[in-house]
Amino acid sequence: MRYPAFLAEVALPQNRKNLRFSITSGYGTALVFALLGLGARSFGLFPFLWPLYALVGFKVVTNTLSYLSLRNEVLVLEMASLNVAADLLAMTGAVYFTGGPESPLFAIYGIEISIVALLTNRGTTLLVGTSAIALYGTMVGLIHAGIFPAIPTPATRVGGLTGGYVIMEFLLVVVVLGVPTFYTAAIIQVLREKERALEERNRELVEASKHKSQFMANVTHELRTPIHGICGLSDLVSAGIYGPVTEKQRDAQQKIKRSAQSLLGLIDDLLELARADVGKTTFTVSRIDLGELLPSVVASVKWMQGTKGQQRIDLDLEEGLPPIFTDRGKLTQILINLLANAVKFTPDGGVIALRARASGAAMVALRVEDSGVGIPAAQLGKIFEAFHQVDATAEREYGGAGLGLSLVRQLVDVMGGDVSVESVEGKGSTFTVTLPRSQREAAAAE
Amino acid sequence: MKKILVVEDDPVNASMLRDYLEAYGYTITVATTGPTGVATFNAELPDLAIVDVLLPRTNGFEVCFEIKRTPHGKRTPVFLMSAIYKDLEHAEGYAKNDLKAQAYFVKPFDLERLLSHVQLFIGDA
Repeated sequence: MRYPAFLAEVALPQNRKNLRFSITSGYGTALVFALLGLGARSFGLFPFLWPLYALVGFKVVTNTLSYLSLRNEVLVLEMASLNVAADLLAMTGAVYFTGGPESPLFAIYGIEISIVALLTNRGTTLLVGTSAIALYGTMVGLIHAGIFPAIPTPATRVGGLTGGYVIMEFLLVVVVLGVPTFYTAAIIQVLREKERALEERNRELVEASKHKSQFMANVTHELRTPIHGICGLSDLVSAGIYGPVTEKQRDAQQKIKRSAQSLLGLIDDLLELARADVGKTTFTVSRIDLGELLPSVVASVKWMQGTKGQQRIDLDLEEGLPPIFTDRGKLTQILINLLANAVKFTPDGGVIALRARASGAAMVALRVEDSGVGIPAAQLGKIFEAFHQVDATAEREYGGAGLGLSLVRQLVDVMGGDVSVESVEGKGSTFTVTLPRSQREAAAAE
Repeated sequence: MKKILVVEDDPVNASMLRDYLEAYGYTITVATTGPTGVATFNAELPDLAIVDVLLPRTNGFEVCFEIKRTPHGKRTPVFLMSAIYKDLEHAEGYAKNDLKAQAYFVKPFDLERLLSHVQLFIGDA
């Protein structure tokens, strides 16, 4: 048999603690009500003896069944349900024997419902509450129909507010208000402690991410310093400062320098990725004239073309494109990464194009097209993941860590834009970055 | 003969700068920590100082500040250079506006760019 999720949740191993708690307190409640009943009897408020024994005995039996089921791990949920049903039945019985609809005991339903609410969930609480209403209504209905004889209230029985009645009424109020108050206070205490532990954990995590970011800054410094040495010394050698150089040596020096620079690019990518990860990416908005920025971006990827002397990079800027307001460094990085990618995957003699167009009133679309190797359709969804390269085999033709595109997507996200790719394998790829023209539009799009 | 003080703790970078600038006829003195950098500046009174930011003991910003306090330092151009990646714009603004350094280079930089700055501020050797 399948139970609704909210009921099944009650019997889950992590909630066993609450069930054990309810059983222990069940014995306590039974004892308190037995004492209250005996007290009421001694003041003449409650003349019945067998219903008192029956109600308390019934509760003790179901409570024990529930305890045994929990110890033996059989029928845990069923016995817990029976226990709660027995509580409600016993309460309804107590209400009936103290005057039915006029009973001063009516408030004891509150004990059950508040405890269930504190120990379980909303669904279970609603179910228990509805059951209590149904039981109470049935009892009142049966009295009204004359099936159950009407029983006078204790006050009518003893003829008004006697001393004994006042004492018992007071004790009842103490139990009815005291028990839920105690439970609520205890549960809130536990929640507060959990909250404190969470805050502590949160602080530790923030601290750890600060350390990470500091660590990354230190690492970059340590990595950039030797790269500076490599680039500078290879310049010195090829400039002939250490003696005459042959053409071949000069060429090799330039390769050393280029390798060091691409290593530097990789380090910067990694660092930017780590910063974006910890949410440390800073955002500085400035006015950017694309007609001025795009040529400088194209110029800065020229060196990556290396030996691909016949590869062309075309720049195609829509007439009258207004300036955009966004983070200059991030935009530059996005375009450089996309262009570097295009340069890498386009053979010599191929054509790369960087196009800028208005896209609606609020957006601008920047498109990097290449006539390179293209991306298989099955891979299109994955290329923006970190460390993903289409050809992941060890003998793959193209180097790189697969960080560039994942960084592009993270940066575009931060800028409130969107990046997409279309590609035909063997024909080339087109990456389109759509960015809001100003950060106000980005905020409105959120 | 124009004298240039290089304050740089990384030996490879220091010797690289020395070789490069000496090739263009300048006289180079190298100091490897912040305090010795300031002491050497005051002893040698060079025409230009090129100071790394991340130095042992006192950092390059402090060295620049100390140098710029002296009468000779007020008249001498100081270039700062660093491989620190974080808060780049902030560091450069601080170096130029607050410390009155004449240039800020982020490593790795092109040596030709350095040379053109050197020639701009102190002329040929």
